[in-house]
Amino acid sequence: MIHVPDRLGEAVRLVEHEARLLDERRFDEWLSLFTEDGWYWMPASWGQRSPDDSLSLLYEDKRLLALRVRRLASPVIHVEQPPSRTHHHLSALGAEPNAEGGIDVGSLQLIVMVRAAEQRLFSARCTHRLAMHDHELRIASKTVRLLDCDAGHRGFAVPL
Amino acid sequence: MPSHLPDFTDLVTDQRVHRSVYTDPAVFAAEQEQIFRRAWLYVGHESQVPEPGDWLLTRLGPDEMILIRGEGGVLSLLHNRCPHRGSRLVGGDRGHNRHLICPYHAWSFDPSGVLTGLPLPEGYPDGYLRDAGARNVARAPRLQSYRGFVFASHAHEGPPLAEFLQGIAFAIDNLVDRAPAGRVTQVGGALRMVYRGNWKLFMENAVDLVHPGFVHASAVAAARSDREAASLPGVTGQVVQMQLANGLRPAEWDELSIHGFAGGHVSMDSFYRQGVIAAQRDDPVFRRYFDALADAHGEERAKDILALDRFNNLVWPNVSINSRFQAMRVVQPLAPDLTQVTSWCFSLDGAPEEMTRLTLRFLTAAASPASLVAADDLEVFERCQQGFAGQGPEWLDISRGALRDRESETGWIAPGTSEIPIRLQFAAWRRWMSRTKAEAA
Repeated sequence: MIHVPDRLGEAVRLVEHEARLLDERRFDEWLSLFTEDGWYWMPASWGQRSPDDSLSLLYEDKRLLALRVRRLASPVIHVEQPPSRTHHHLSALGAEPNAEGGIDVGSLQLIVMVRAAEQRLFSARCTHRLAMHDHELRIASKTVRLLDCDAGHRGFAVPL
Repeated sequence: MPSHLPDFTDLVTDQRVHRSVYTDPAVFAAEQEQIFRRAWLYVGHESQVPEPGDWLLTRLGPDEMILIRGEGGVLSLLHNRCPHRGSRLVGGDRGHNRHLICPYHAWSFDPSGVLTGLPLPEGYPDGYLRDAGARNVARAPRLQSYRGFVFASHAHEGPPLAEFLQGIAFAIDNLVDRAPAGRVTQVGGALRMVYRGNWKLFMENAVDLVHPGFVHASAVAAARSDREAASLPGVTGQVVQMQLANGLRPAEWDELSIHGFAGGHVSMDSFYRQGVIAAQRDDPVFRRYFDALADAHGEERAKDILALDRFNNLVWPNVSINSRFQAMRVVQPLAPDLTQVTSWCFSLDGAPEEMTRLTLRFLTAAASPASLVAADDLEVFERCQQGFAGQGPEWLDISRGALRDRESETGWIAPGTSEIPIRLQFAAWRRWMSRTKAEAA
């Protein structure tokens, strides 16, 4: 029996680690943080309740995230020539047990992206739903609610 | 030509175009005047404003407009601009108001744009406020709905909508015919992409069957390394199939046909052949859908409707319709080197709800700026725009396949790898850019 409240600190550290892996472009390690049935969702409208009733900027399960990550390693991924760099600035981190016996971690993330010496900003409220897997916390879902989710964006290939 | 506009038509021939058609602010200004202030342009779908008082913020060429439904169901397209001091009347994307009230001095207007009230009317001479032209909200002179799709024009006169859509109206017909109830509804919000490139680049690329194998090579290769994923249910299989379909070889693209029309409109055959993305599927949802369609139209007619297997259908100058996936993209030129593309999808009234999920997934995978596909398209548009800069070679080639283009009963037909879509769009561009307002009428 795992006592979830004891692991709240660990949950927060996992979300910080996840951001670090993205910033360091360690995408294979990043992918391994997700459970096998894990998914990633970036809504395209403010207050969007579900990826099933509206368009999303990104809605991918682990198999599609794996495809995305393999693509990032390709020499002919044009939108990543030159590669983008990111810094994920995390704040307002909070963890609490969820109804499924796991932990939800909320955070505000300011994602600064630089590519070809040009800077872009993404501000997001993120929710990581974490689940226990072999006594380890893993990401069952990551929801990235961009403050400007419904604005026109230029292309990007890396998961934020 | 109107005297204040120079003639740009020598920048385009059957074989080549001058790079300045993509970069020159004077060309852009002339396009806005000659094309986007005269041609029929799509402004919204009737289902977005179903009730009297419902309004939607939209654009008609260079101008921000309000599409609003009045009493009796009449649609009007009003400039979002108070005739008093010029303030934008509405600030949101959509809403419901019996009257539009200006935030500045509270002039109020009915949904047809007629002034209905204002403070201090005694400050004007008798009769002054009844000068309708000056006191009412300016409106688009021509507005017409084609099977629920609303088009408008800033020009008082010009070809009727039916004539303008000649050849390509079938794309709208087919989308609406796919609905068992004979009506579609815009659903699921919108996706917006921006790129630092000219608007024509998107329209040329949408019917370019040679680019996918190159521009999308990284996604094709990534999908090929996990082919089994293509048969998975839900979003996974569909998205993987879409990537694999982009990996056709040039010879295979040539087996598809491009259909072109004199108005600059272009339709291309679909290249989606496998699994859930194929034109006609064999699964419980699709069978339920087919039964509903056959109930409405009879089995033969239902089969004919579904047999039309086209991918992107361009309504020149700035719309792309995919009837099979119930999707529409609208290209908005913002500057010579800045464009926004908004994508919408539609549910088929009377069809199983799961059919809508398919179009939502299709557009999420195909038309998001984070798409495995579109992100690289946008990058290439920006690289073209960057390539046009500087003092290098001035002309760009659009001649591939010209020897094999042939006339059909309705326009032209060519093998998939022909650049005829670009040639036809520029032929329409030349015509509109050279016509005076009197000639257009």
